[in-house]
Amino acid sequence: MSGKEQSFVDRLQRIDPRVIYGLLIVVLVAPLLRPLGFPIEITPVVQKFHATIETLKPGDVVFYAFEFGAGDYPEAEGAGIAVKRHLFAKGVRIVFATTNDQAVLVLQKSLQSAGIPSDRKYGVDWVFLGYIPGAETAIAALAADMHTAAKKDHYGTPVEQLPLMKEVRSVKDIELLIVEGGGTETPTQFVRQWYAPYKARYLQICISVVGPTLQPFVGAGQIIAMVVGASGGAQYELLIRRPGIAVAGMDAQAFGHVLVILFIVIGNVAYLASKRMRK
Amino acid sequence: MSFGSRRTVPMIITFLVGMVMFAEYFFKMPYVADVANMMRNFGIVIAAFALGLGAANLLIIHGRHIRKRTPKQWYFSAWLFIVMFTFIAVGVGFTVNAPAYVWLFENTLTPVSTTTYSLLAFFIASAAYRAFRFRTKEGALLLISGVILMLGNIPMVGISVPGISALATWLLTVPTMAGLRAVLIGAAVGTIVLGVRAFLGQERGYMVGE
Repeated sequence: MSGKEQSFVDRLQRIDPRVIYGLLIVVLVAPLLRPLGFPIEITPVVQKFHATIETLKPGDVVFYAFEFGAGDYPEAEGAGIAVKRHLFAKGVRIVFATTNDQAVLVLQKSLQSAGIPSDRKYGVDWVFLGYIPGAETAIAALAADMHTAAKKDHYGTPVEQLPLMKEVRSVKDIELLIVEGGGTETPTQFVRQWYAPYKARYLQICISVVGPTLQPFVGAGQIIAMVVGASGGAQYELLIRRPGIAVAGMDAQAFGHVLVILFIVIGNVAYLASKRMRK
Repeated sequence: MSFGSRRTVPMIITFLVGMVMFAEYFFKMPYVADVANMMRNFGIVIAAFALGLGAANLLIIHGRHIRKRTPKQWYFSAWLFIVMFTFIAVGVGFTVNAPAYVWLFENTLTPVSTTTYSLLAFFIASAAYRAFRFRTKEGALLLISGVILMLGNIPMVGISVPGISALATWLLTVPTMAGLRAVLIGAAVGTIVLGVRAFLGQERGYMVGE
């Protein structure tokens, strides 16, 4: 094999990262501007998440721990919005809270995007207990007695004055727990403090890198089901028949994956070819 | 306070608090639950104070950098002060629900955090191209499973290639989960040992100066 061919093979093994970055930008942005609408397969775990919420009756109380910071929120934004829309449509009552200081404003943005129906009144149909410091201690305290863990809601109203909170004191008054975000640590703490002692029914929304780490809890039945990343969000949007931001992003994600696989194949073909040439 | 009591008092507190939480978790006893609940609420109050302590610590460390004009650092410390005091002034002056505070949050922290996180897509693409090479048997396993998982994540592939989604799910729910369970169980056993050592006063890492 000639030197020219050899250098070409070497070059294929050492493609400039800027070329990869540039092509990635193109394949991510182009489908966002001109969506192709590839079909999306609904996986059993997302169906199970949806089916669990479907079992709720109007008036049931859901505890919704929103734990996303500003950085990782966008990946699962579609999932969170779709799940909140589903909950509001079911007519359940929701207690929002967080143990992440950044999540306070991110939750309000998410609620704004989900669109709280005009007939759902604050204090009666939903409340926001705000940021409760203390991580696992706070999670355990909320399970035991929400009124002492959070004496006032996020807006400064004493919890006893909120009609919904007059009926909700502890995890025993909660029909379902949903945790949105929180990395790997916060969901683990909820399993320890809500599932293990009280057997709370627990659903999780998380970003893609966290999904596999939480899989053992799903396998053990401690977490009933998970919606993972933009892909899970797109499936959930289709299940509630309200395609949104996640469905729109799926073409971009698919092309991004294809490009990465393509570069992996190029790198390996070039590596094996150069190995054969050296022999 | 003598050296002995500086060690003994925290150890006694740790033992008592630990025993109460242990009893409350495993045995549903009246009164113990109330005491445990009270202690958890102490924990929330202490955590809130710790936030203030963290802010004070930042002020001391970065104030020192500014005073000493530490090369390649002091201007970052000064910038930290500007941002920190702007957020504190707006948050305390108008509350954290005020449009001014929300505007600040959405136009500084949100884009910066999101951009940093989004950069991962580019780094991962570049790293995958470089790292996923057929060099060893283990590397080949990583390469094949990584590609299968990526293919399984592409909806159109999942629909048009039968079995790829099932294979990706199998990779996640069998080998990955087995490995992660081993890690989790190992960490749990380690935590139990650490707890027992703390109860017995043999673990003193939480005591300053020990």
